[in-house]
Order: sequence, then structure tokens, then C-alpha cells
Amino acid sequence: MSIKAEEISALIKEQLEQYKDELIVDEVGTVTYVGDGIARAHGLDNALSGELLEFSDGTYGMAQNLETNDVGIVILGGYESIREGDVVKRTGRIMEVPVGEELIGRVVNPLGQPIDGKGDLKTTKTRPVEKKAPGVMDRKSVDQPLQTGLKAIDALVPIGRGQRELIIGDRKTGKTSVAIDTILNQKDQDMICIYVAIGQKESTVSAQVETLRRLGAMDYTIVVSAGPASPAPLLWLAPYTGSAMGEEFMYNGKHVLIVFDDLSKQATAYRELSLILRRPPGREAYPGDVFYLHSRLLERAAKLSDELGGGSMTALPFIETQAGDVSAYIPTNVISITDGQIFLDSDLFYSGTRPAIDAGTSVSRVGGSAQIKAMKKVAGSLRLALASFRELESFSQFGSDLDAATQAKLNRGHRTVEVLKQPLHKPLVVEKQVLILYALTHGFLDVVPVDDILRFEGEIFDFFDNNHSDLLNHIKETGNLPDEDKFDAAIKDFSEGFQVTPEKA
Amino acid sequence: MKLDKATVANRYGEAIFEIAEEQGNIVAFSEELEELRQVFLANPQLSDVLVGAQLNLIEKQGLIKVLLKDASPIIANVIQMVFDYGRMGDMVGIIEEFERLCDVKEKVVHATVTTAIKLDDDQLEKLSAKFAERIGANKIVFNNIIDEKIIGGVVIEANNQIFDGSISSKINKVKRLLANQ
Repeated sequence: MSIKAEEISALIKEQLEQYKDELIVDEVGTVTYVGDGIARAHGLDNALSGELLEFSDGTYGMAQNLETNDVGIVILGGYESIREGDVVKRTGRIMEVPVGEELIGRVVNPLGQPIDGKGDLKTTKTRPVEKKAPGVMDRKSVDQPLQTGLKAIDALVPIGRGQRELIIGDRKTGKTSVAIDTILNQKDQDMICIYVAIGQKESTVSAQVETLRRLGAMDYTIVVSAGPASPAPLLWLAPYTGSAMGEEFMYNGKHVLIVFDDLSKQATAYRELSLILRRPPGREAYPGDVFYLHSRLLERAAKLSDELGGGSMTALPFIETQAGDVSAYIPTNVISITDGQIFLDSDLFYSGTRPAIDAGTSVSRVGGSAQIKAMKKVAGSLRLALASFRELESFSQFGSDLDAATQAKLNRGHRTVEVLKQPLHKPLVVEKQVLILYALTHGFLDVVPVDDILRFEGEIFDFFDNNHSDLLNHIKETGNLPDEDKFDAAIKDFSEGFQVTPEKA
Repeated sequence: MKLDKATVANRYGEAIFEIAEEQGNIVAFSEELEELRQVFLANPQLSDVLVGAQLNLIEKQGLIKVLLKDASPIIANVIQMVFDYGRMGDMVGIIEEFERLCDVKEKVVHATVTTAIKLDDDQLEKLSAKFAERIGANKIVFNNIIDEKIIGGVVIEANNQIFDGSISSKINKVKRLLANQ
């Protein structure tokens, strides 16, 4: 290939035609303080709150505190090369991040820059990171299910598209696994997933990304990561960046699932910046607007009305509790903002019930209306049965003389707990969930020993796949239970042939 | 909490300016205060000494007496009061704030002009007239800086604004335009 001077100069001429020779007028200020992700600047008289500012080394900042004598600026990026006396320029814009299809499959930082080493993003569109949430008339009530693929969630605390369901629990209770499994289950569900990792160890994030890639979930997933080594402003910004990316899809009529892992670290980062910005500390030293920090973020998750394309953004915010204390400041705040919570219990986790969902304290305030009919039928009584089982279980430890009815209840309870267990990264399609829960609630499992339940489950799925896939398809397509007689007969057919593991002597 | 320098300067500066305005004597005030400012600028350790604990009160008063010697009564009062309240460290800030208020009233703008070559008086005059028109000021006081890095053209800084008409930033703009495509 040779260089063609004529062509090139024609191109350059064309571009230069856009160049207008005009005086550059900038409003500026002088940096008087830098430190810990914050700068203060004198001047900038007309700066607006939230406006993007540019430091002389090219780093951007966001005007946060407008005070009598100076402006408090949050520095977005490294602050090592900003010096006292440097010039800060107003840009007249607000912070925007790149959005669009091109981001799918990528790992980016909170500024929307790729950090996965796969080259530049070829995005053409941007969106402001802070945007007002859709109003009352722009929304409609949640009516489509979001299948997490986890029996315990889909049956007991169903999530609808556009809902905000909090996942709360101590460290090491499997919060992230719930999110990853949910993302895995969105394959072929016409969903775009955004995983926002806030202050998660880079090694953990890398392992999660690898899991997603290995199981083919990166084809519809964007990962936004702000590691623990990033400055606090980036940790604070990350969820907003994720939301902006999600909104682009939502307003184009698509369905989005966004996971914030986790918001307690974001709140901590925000506390850090607020204290350095000299905002007065309140309870637990959080600033007064920490509630607004989360409410304005989570309010952006919505189910849009049909006029706006009917897209949705489902948010799964995470909160890490300390020793199960849900009455701390941030947990209570976020519980009151969301449409329900899934409580993960460390005792359950260590006793082998995984996912360790505490059915008693987990609720979903709107998801019930989004459950498919078949699931509603089989799971309707499950929560109550489970609650009364927990009560009976602790009670029955005192005596062994139990009447037959109580004995039966206990039996059913043990099997219910067993059925709701699920191995890691093995999400289950809804029709199979309905099948096993139907078998449970209709007493087909009562004769199967508890230790054999898992094997029974696996084998009945294979059996139905091979012999009765029409029944499963019926559930999948219509959302209703198939003809009960046929369904019963098929299950009976299988369970009669099921070989119970002989008890070891 | 200790008041920050800017707040102190605002309060004292405004008070002095109001007195000057009442007495219709702004020019005399500002000349005298400018002299005082020069004293502080020429002796950078003066304000530290007056605020610090190296000298006792009597020795400090000796220093103050020198400052008060030729001062007009009101300026003398100002110096004495600022000293009594332990704000000598903010004196320069106070005077600058006073001058800023004078400038706002008279619509005088102090501007820094950066050019690649030294401007002669005629050029400065023309520039000053044009610039005054542009920002709506009565008078421009220029401080000319020579910086060859800007290659050509003029950069004016005034009122927290930069008017950048330099060749170097134009070249940068073209560079960015070409690199972006």
C-alpha cells in the first residue's frame, strides 16, 4: 500500500473546514487544596453544582460544594499530578459516559474506559451519569417475571422486571453467587445484564468475569468495576455509570438487569468524600444526604410504560451487614427504598442450605404479580408451610411423642428445605422448578428419603426431558399448569420406578 | 472554628471600603493602603512576626508604631484594630479585598496579558480599549507577561476568565480535530 498524498490532503482539508477560528474563552479558578480525591478551588464564580471541570493536566472533576469562597471538587481519576495553584476550567457540561451495544461483553471503569485490554470502545453515544428517574406517568406496574433460576427465589420471593430487590446478608453468605447465577440464567431471555462491582477485590472481579465468560454470559453482560485501589470518587460514581448504561437500553425498549455489588461500600466511599468536603457528619458519620444517594440511584430502575417502549431496568442492590445487623443506618435506608429484600443468613449457609435464603424475613412486595400462573399455584402455600415447619422444628426438639399430623408436617418441611437447595452456577428453568415444586406440594416426595431428594430431582428432570417434554413445554409456553391428571400420572410413572438408595447398615 | 482567610479579608475589606465611600475619599485610602501593602510584600516576615510569639507585645507595638507614624488617622485606626484583633497575618488579603471593591465600583479590571513578544504602549492601549469594550469595563490595568511558548497571539486573564487567542492553543485544537477522526 502506498500513501496517496492527494487523498489524504483532501481528507484533512475536509476536517479542517470544520475548524472555526474563534477566541477560546474559559472561566477558570485556582486550586487551593488537593487531597484524597478532593480539590478546592478559588474562583469559578459561575460553576454549577455537578458541572464537569477540567484540571490543567487533563483530569476531570465534578463541582460538588459551592461555597462562599471556594468550590469543592470531586476529582474523577488520579489526583497525583494536580498541584496547588493549577488552573481549573469550567466545561459547561455535566459528566457523561459512553453507552450503547458496543459496551456489551466489556469490562469498563466508572468513567466508561475499557480496562479489559481489548482495545478502544467504538461507542457513538453518551449519556449523563446523573439523570432524573422516570416519573409517575412514565411507568407501569411490574408485570413480567425475571427468572433468577434459583428455586428459592423464584418460588418464595419472585422478582419482576423493573423491580428493585435488595440482597442483604453478612460477608461470605453467597450474595455475589446469587447475582452471578441470576445473570447466567438470563441467557436467551432478551436481557442485558450490568454487573457493577464497587470496591470488590480485582481478583474476585476477575474470577467472576471469567465465570461469566466460561458459561457464555459475557455475550450479554457489561461489567463496571471500581476496585478498592481506585479513589473514593470512582467508587461513588460506579453505580451511576452502570445506571446510565442500563438506561440507554431501557429507553430503547429492552430489558436490563443491573447488579450493584455492593452499595455499602459505595456509601462508605461517599462518606469519605463528604467528610473531606467538610459536609457535616450525621448518624454513623454518614452525611445527611446518604439516603438520597441511594434513593435517586434505585429510583432509576423502572418498568416503563408502553408509550415509552415498555423497557425495564431491574436492580439488585447488595448490602453487606455486620453480624446480621439489619437495623444499622445503611441497611434500613436501602430496605425502605427497595421493593423487598432477600435475606441471606450465615447460619443457614454454614448448615449447608445454599442459597442461604431466609424465607421468613425475605419478601418481595411486587414480584408476586409477575409470577407465572403455574408457579403461583405450586408455590403459593410454600412460604407458610416453611415458616410453620421452622417453628415446629425447634419445638419438636423437646419431645419425641409427636402425632401423625405433626410428623407429616415435619417430613414435608425437611423435604421442602432439601428441594430449595441448589448447587452453584446451576440455574434451573422455570418449568422444571414448577415440576419439582409440584411434586413436592402434591406429596410425591414424601416417600423419598431426604438424602435421595437431590438425585430424585436430577432424574425426574431427565425423565421428563425424554418422555414428557410436551408437558414442560406447555408450562413454558402458556405459563399454566398442564392437565393435572396427565401431570400426576407422569410423575407417578417416574416415582414408581425410582430406586431408593439402600440404607447402609 | 477559626475563620478562614477569605472570610476575614471580606469582612475587614468591606468595612474599610464603606468608610472610604462615606468619606468620599477612596483614592487617598487606596493609595495609602497600597503603600502599606508594599511594606508587607517587601518584608515577608513582618506579618509572621506580628502574629507569632517570637516577640512580646511591647516589641510588637514598637513595630506597629513605625507603621502608624505617617498614617492618616483612619488608616492608623485600621492598622491598630487589625493588630489588636490579631489579624495582621491577613492584612495583605484585607487590602487586596479593599482594592477589589474599589475596582468593582470604578469598573477597573486588572488583567494579565501573555504574549510571545513584548507589546509596545500603543499596542497595549489598543488592546486595552478593545478589551474594555468587550467585558464592559471603564479601565483596564494590564500586567504584561512574555511567554514564547504561546508562539503568537494574546492570552488575557481577568476576573477568573481566560480569553485565549494564542497560536499554540489553536494548533492544539487543530491537532485534536485531526486526531479524533
